[in-house]
Amino acid sequence: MPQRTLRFKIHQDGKVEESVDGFIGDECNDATKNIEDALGEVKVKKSTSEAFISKQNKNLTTIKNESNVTF
Amino acid sequence: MSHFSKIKTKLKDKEPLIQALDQLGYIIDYENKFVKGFRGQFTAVDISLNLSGNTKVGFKWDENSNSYELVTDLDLWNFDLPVERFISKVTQLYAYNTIISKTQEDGYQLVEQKNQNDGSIELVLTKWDS
Repeated sequence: MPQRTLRFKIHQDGKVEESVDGFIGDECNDATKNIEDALGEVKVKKSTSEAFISKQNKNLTTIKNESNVTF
Repeated sequence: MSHFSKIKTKLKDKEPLIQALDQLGYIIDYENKFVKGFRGQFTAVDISLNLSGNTKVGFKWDENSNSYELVTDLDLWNFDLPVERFISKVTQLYAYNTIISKTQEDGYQLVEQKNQNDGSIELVLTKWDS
């Protein structure tokens, strides 16, 4: 299994930037929910490129399955 | 999947807040939990501090914001840091303590910590799947 990595940058005024790598599916949201709840209010949340790729792969698989049904 | 978030820190838990105040060397007054605040009225607070320059500061739980808020009389503020810097320092350490304790609970290890020139603290934590 991959190594899970959490990165934080805590600014001087206490604002926090968090980035998360190495999770499968929605696990990354579960992994940081506790921390985010304890810290305060999430202002911005973006899925990064890695998440986009895994989503695309999922779509490709779906199309393949559909074509199998057709033939 | 990966994500990137920006979080506005609120002082929601007493424990990391008290820890932050201790780390900054501020003396918590457990006897007198009152601070002279807005218009000279005495306000009951949950955490009370005596800062140098005879400056009294408190933190009071606020139901609306669901967090601890600073109570002080700005006219009597005589501490060597401006009030904005004081609250920033407390909030930054509060965020640090919260991240360290929550990630430890979840089995993460701190592998890197850097204090940057801009005053920010960068942390890297990792966990291997068992």
